[in-house]
Formats: sequence, structure tokens, C-alpha cells
Amino acid sequence: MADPWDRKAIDPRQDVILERTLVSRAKGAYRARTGDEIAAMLARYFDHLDYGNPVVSDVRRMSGGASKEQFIFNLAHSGVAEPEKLILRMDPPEGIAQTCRGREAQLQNAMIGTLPVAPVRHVDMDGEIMDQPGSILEFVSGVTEPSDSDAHGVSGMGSRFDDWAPKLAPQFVDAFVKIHAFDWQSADLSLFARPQPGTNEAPLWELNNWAKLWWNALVEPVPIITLCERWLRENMPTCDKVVIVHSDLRIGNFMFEEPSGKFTAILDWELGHLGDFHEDIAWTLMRLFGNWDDDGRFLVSGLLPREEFLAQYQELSGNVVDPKLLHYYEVLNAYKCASMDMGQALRAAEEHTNHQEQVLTWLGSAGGVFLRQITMLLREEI
Amino acid sequence: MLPNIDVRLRNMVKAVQEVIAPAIREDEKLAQEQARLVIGQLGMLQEQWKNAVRYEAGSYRLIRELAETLTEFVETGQVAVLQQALGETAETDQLDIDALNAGICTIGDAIDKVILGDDGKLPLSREAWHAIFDYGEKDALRSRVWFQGNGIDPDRGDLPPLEEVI
Repeated sequence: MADPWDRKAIDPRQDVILERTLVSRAKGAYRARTGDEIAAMLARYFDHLDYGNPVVSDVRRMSGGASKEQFIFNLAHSGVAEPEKLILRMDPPEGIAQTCRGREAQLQNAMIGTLPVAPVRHVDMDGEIMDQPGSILEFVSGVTEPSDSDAHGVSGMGSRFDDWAPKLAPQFVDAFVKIHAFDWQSADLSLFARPQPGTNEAPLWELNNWAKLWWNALVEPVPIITLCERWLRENMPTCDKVVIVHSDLRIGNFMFEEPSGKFTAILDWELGHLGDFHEDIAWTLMRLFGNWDDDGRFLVSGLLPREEFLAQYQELSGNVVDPKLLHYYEVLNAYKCASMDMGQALRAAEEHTNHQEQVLTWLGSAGGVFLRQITMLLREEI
Repeated sequence: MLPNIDVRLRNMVKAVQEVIAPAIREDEKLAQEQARLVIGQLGMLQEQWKNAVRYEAGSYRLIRELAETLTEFVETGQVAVLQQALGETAETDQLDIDALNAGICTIGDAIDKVILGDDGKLPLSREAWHAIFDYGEKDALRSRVWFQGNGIDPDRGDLPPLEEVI
């Protein structure tokens, strides 16, 4: 078993990203690029990829998300009769989380045929051609919140599904089941370190990632976050069964078509990694990602009550949720959220290294919700 | 002061709502979202600015109390770390928000060292854990009340008035 205080035990590619963050930060403030600049960069990129006569047009910024710059554009080239609609997903120097476009692309493409996802066509994971890390995705239509709803959230939080919930909830549970049953050993996941089952490598690597993010970003010390790190190290479990963990499957990160409600894409695979299924389940149970219905029931991701969600997941997946492990990962996830919201997001906002710093400070202002959750969860234990 | 801060903040909200936001093209989704967030942030600032120094002074007092409490429950070397931070910040100007924040950071750094205990080599007593929980509950509640205008907290309906926690 690895020493739970060994801070160097971390997924190597993720460590590269965290180190790169420090280099990017030192370069100073970031100015979001204009549509014309993006069009020129994309034309250069497609030319580099040997597309015949590439012409990029109608470049428009997209909203949504809390960390990546996203653009929709048309690409005409000699290989197609009609222009293709594509998405550019690009890293600003800093966002609420620091992740790898290459890892995201590997996971997303591995899931084609298993779940609805937007195929990733190209990746420049170190920004060698684009100058910033980025990926090109195929366009998938759909909405993340009902278009007839008055409740609009930031990054999905605050959205409501109301009458849509019965259509969406079964697909939501099914997505977890399929991700956790996926045969990842046969997939190309070369950018992921593989934790050994029966060891504490999975939770240790994950904790070290978020702890390093927190300490590198530290804006103001928060004792309860530090205490949480200590508890997580002193109570680290083993992971007996290693699965793909999406890590951010919640309200706002699935897209559906109207009026059928059919899922068209599971979004935002950037936090995905190999680990324990309890981590995914605990994440979606977070209070910030849920809301109350008109009958006074608290709904997981605005879709269904916690106990129903857990019962359906267990029945369909065959995985048995261990309350002790679920508790550990609820604490770890609250720690992750605090590390992002009160650490990395606010540091990026302070350094002006993001393209939408208002979103970062808006989300950062929700830190108290996570501090409350951490305190409640840990008090049960000590 | 003329013009006063409330008027200027209200004017900014009106300008974004009535002039800037309607001028943004329908397909400029990010710009629309940013305009909504400017209105939201200005709205929160309207609620907060008069109490900002009091809020930060309250945060300073709370973390100072935690450091003082922890001196009763930690080892001698750690007591020295806490006492040094408490000493350095003892004369903090209670009306200077930047000084208060600097004091919070100095004391917080010392508390972090004590909590980590040289990466787990030094024990942390049960009493120390509970002192930090007590602090954490108060800190979380204050933060949730202070930022409830963001509309994110699903339990914001249960929050007490600011005056009760500031």
C-alpha cells in the first residue's frame, strides 16, 4: 500500500498539466482571442492537417462551461460537398480545473458506440499548432436545460427539469451504468496511468492532483479544507475494482433533444480518469448539483431523489454501493469542489488568466456550500 | 459623498440592462451570459459593500479565536507557530480591509501548518479537530449568507439574516 502522505504519487500526465499551469500563470494576463484570430488559427491548423483548401467561416463563441473556451464554426474543404459544423474546445491559460485535452479526447472517443458523445476529430493537446491546447469536436445538437424553463444556471447549476425529469432520469442512471461497465482495458487510454486494483493508488493519485491544484493556487488559507486533506489521507481506502470515472456527470453535463428528451451527448469528460465507481456516484449526489421539486423532495441533479437514484443504479449495474466508500468519496468530492471553486478559480480570476473570470468568481462565491458539506461529513467521523 | 456608491451601482445595472445587453446580437451567447453576470455581480455588490469591512473583521476575529483555541490542544512547537502568527497580527487595523485580509492569511498559514502536522507526523487531537469543525461551521454559514445573492446554494431559504452572523 502506498504512503497516503506521498504527494508525488500522481498520474504523470496530470502532473504535466499542473506544472504547465504554473508556467502559463507566470506569463501574465490573458486576452481572449477574437473571432478573426480564431478563424486564422483554425485555417492554419487545418492546413497543417492536410485538409484540401480549408476555409473556416462563421466563427462564434459559445457560452456554458466554466473553464474552456468554446467556438462553433463552419469548415469547408475539398473533401466535403457542404461545409461541416465543428466545435473548437480550447484551454485558456487557467480555468476552474486544469486538465488535458488529449485525455478527454481518448475517453470521449472510447465511448463512441456505448454512449452518445461528440466525437473528437483532432487534438493539439500541448498547443503546438494552435498555440493553446485544444481539440476539434463534431457538432451535436441539443440543449442542456429545457428551452421553455425560466431557471437558467451557471454551468448548469440552478437549472430545473420539472416535467422533463421522467424522460431524462432513466437515461441519466443508464449513463453511469454504461460508463462503469465499459471495458477500458481494451481501449486506447494511453494518456492515463492505470491504478492497481486492491491498492490505494486510485484515491491517492486523485487526492494528490486536487491537493497540488489547491496548494499551487492558494489565495487565502481555509482551515477546514486543510483538515479535510488530512482526513482524506488518514482514511484512504483501497479501490478493488477500477473503472472509468466520468467525474463530472451531473446537471448541465448532458444534452438532450426537444421534445423527445432523448440524450444526444454526455459532455465534459475533462475530469475523467480511472478509479472507483463510488467517486462518480458521490459526485452527482453533491447538494450543489441538485435542487428541490415542488413537493419538497431534493432531487439528484434535478432529476430524482437520492435513494431512488442509488437503488436504480445498483439494480441496473450490479454494483453494490458501500456506504463507507460512498462517504469517503463524498468527502473527496467536496474537497475537489472546494479546491476548484475557492482555489484554482479564484487564483485564475486574480491573475486574469481566463476568458470569463466573472464566471469563476461567481462559482467561487459558492465555496461556503462545500465548506458546510465537508464539516457535516467529517463531524460524523470524529 | 456625491454621487454616492449605491446610485452609481444602480446606474451601472441600468446601463447594462437597458443599453448594453439589448445591443448584443442574439447569437453572441457568451456576451449575453457575461452581461447577465455583470448585472448579478453588481446586484451582490449593492447588498455587500456597506458591510464589507465588518464582514472581513468578523472573519479575522473568528480565525484568531480558532488559533487561540488551538494553542490549548497542540504540541509545544505548534503552539509557538500559532503564537508567532497571533503576535504578528495583534495590532491589525480593524477598519482596513486589506490589513484584515493579510491578518487572516498570516494566521491561516500557521493553522494550516498545525493541521498538516508535518504531513501527518504530528498527531492532531480530537479536541483540535472539533475546534476546527466549530470554526468551519461558522465560517461556512457566514460565507453562505454573504454570497446568497448568487442563487447557487440549494438551501439558501434556510439562511439567517446577515446581522445574525456578521
